[in-house]
Amino acid sequence: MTAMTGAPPVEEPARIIDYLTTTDHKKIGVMYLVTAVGFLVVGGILALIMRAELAFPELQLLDESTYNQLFTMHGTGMIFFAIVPLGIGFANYLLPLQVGAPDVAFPRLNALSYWLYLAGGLVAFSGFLTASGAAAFGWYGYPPLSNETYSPGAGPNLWIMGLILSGASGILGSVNFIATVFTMRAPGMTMFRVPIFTWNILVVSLLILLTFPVLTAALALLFIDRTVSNAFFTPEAGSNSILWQHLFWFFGHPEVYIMALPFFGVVSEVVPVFSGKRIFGYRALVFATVLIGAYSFSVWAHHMFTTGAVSNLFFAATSFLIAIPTGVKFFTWIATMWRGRIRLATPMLFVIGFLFQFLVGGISGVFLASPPIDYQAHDSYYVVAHMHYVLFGGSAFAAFAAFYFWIPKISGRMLSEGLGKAHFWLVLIGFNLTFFPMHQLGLDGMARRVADYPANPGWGETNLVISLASGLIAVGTALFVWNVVRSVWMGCGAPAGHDPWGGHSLEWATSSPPPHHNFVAMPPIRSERPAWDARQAAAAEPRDG
Amino acid sequence: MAEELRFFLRVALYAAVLTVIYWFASYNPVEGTYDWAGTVLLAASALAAAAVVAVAAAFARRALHGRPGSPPALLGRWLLFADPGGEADEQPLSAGLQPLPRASWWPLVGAVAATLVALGLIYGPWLLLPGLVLVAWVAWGWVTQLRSIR
Repeated sequence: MTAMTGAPPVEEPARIIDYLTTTDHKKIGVMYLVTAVGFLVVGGILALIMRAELAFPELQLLDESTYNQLFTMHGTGMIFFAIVPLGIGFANYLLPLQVGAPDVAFPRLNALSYWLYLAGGLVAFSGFLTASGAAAFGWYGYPPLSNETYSPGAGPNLWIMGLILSGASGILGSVNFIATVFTMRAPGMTMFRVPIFTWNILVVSLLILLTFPVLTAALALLFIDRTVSNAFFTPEAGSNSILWQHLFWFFGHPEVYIMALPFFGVVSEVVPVFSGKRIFGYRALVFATVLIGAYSFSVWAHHMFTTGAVSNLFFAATSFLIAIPTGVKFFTWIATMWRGRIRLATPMLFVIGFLFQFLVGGISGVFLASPPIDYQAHDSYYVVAHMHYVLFGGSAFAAFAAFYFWIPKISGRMLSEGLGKAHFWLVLIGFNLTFFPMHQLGLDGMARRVADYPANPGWGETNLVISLASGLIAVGTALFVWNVVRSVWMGCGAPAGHDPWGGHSLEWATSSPPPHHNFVAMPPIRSERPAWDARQAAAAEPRDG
Repeated sequence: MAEELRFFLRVALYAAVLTVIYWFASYNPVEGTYDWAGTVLLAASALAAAAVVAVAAAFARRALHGRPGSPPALLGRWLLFADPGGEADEQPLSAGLQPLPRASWWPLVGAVAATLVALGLIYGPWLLLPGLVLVAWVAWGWVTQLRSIR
């Protein structure tokens, strides 16, 4: 038996109205991905404007207020409307395919999730159109800076409502993913045969389910503080601004793993395929994923060491602890590559970039988990470097790997390998030249979130290099967009076939793109890599003639 | 017990244990106080997960008829992941494929309604009231479309 049996029914090309009314998880997944890349580009443009200002000491292009709006909406856009939705977009497309389901459990709810996400993003960014401008208090909106006294106008209220809408989207989406994994698995797809990517999405969904309501409630209280009375977070009115920090970071640190775990899942799918081997330590990877999710609930106040209002010992210990399951994942990926037949195609290049850069971000994170070092580096560029090594060097690199790996499945067209490799090298060099020097700037005392900085020896030159290097990231990303437009939209990419990479999981056992309800026929599921099993079985069959 | 219930039961137990540990660890000997914000958040997580188990167990009769065994053995099965060889215990709760809708306007209209309500809270009743009316219309349309699908 071959993996792909039966010809899929020919479907009409999708019209705009099909996308407006669709409940098909694949179309919704594509809509998530396109929208998330759109917000990624917008967030990147805001970053480039900030870097243009920071290229030299003193103010040249922007005033402080505009700069504050830019870094607030850059962080908000990247975290809430780009990185998280990229993971959700891939999950939407792939999760039902990987568990052998015809769709998600609640297709209309899935569509509502997407539209709420889009609406949330547009509402949050519409603050730029108001007279007072967009929110300008940082992506974590600490009171009292975010209250009506210090941040008047409609922009902050639009930011709050945008996040509430996108939070509702995340909650509905996670309910859908959990229900799909638990109730719609194909016969034979036991929990320990579920692909690692889907396991990661399951854990992420639980994190969203337990933490997004906390953020939503906190935002509602902040909105009441701003519009009715300062009842909750304003010290002058007898309330407590530290309470906001607890509520925000109880969501905010699991959020880091909500942004990272889907891409750990991507790496776990790409590495074995391009190493020509079975994943090493499948169960260890599953348990490491579950442990990371569990520990992420116990580390939230390591963002609050300098408040003096939390148990630094407890949160330092739990923050160190979370490095262990993350290390387990790294060892399983390296062990999978060990003595494998490694193919350095574009998805694998991005994964290798991820491994090195996430390691740097992880190690600097262990340093920051130590309160004495955190007191020194808090609110400096060291934290900016750490965060970007985790979220850009880690999550975004793995997201690019995912695009190159799965776009052939989604579109039926291969992306250009030449353009893909040029994209990789440009972004790799640009990223490291941009963010690695920030470690030193931070240790030298350069504060984050300020439009101006003193002309200390070395700071001007370093900032100029950083600003120029950020342009390389922009050029690389533009190449990626062009690659997708050229290969998919203009149809110049080579036909992909149903399994161009020799994939392991079930999505590679159906056509590219898959038919409406995903499978015309399904191979037997006897392990965590049914597509690979089906290829082996087909190869073992005696040939006719 | 079905895997989904065990999953949430494990989460509830983990959060409950973490709540107790955190409560002790958060003691500030100088002020003689505990951190109640974090303790309550963790306890709420435990209760939320336990509520899922309780509701699902009440509504899913199959979940109440798991394999017989001694209480320790049952507890072990609930807390550990199922044996991959034991496929009978791994069948999901779903009673088979339900009809899947192909297209619907209600999700898009629902998001527009929610956006109007959100903007109405900022800009006033002239947006809020149409938003609430639209929410009610979407709820009606959503449910009646579900009946027609089935």
